[in-house]
Amino acid sequence: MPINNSRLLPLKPTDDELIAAYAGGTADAFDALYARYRERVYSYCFRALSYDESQAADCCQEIWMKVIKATSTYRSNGHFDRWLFGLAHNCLVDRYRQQSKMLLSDSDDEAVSLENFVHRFEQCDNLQTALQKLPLAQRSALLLHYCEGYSLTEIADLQSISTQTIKSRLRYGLSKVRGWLGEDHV
Amino acid sequence: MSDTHNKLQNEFKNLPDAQPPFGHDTRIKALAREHLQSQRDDRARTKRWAGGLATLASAALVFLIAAPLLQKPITLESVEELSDAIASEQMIIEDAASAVEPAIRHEITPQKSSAGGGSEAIELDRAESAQIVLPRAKILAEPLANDEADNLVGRATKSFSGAQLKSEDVESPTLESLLAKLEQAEKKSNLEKAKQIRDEITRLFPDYINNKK
Repeated sequence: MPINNSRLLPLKPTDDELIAAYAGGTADAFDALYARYRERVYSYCFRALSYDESQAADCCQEIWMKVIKATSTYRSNGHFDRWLFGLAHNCLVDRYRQQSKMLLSDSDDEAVSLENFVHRFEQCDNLQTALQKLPLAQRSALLLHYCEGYSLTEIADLQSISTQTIKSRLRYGLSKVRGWLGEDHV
Repeated sequence: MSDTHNKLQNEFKNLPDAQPPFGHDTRIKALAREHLQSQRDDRARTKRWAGGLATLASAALVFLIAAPLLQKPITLESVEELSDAIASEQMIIEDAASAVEPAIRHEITPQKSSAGGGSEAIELDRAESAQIVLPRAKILAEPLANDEADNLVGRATKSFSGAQLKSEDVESPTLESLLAKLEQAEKKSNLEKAKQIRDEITRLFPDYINNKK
């Protein structure tokens, strides 16, 4: 059965309009929305997941599937991007937990444990490696603040935690990175 | 602070970046279209079910409404007739009560004038009114099966019988009534009364006495 794309979209539709149009049955609306955020979401996942392209692709697919399924229940408030990055953050946390469980259950696998151990104490010479060593919560907060440009309040809102927590995560994250790379570097 | 922030931002912007792999976008868009299609199918299925249920519900409703009508048609006329019957029944009850009441009151209330010479006329009046009232009360009260009406009829009957005996005395009494009175007097051992009645019978019905002899 062919999909009906006959509904006309506004010239410059907002995110909420696109979501509403998609929920109403316009498939093109989703394409437009996806085109707006595909790179940002992918970059965020790629950087947060230690520059692993396959993991980032899987995580992105998961995020967009959640978006697709939640369009009918989405409450339009003009902050679709925050909602999207909130979903992305939750996906990253889920993935991180799954990996942690897998690492614990595969503790016999010496190769993985050794790699992880070496990676932990590897000398950091740039921000890229320093970020990989940070806990996910701090890494995510730093990436959202400095890469995506969200304020502390916005990050707190999208992660559903207090601003104070975000502030402390940023402070600890930055101090660790500075400790590894030196004051002059960052 | 802002310099540090800008410097940090530049550092973070210079982090390695990557593009989604080939086919990634197509897959996600296809998933979006698939989801839309499945939603449409679900809606269509729900609509079909809802349509079927609505048809069933309306059929059930029609049946519920039609079933009593098929059994016994109720028309506006019949409803009016019913209400009229109820109203007339009510009127009958009221009529019966109002018709019987004066006679009973008349019987129950002690007559001051009965001590004097007008006692016979009063008794006659009572008998007449009781004779009129009793049949009417009986006819009206019987179908009602009303305790009140029964009570009234009982009282009216008493009144009638009492008044009848008295009125027979005043008017030309029949042989049967005199014999009944005689029997009553003999039962009560009222010899004087019995003698009076016998005299009366002898006076009024000499043939009866002769035949008896």
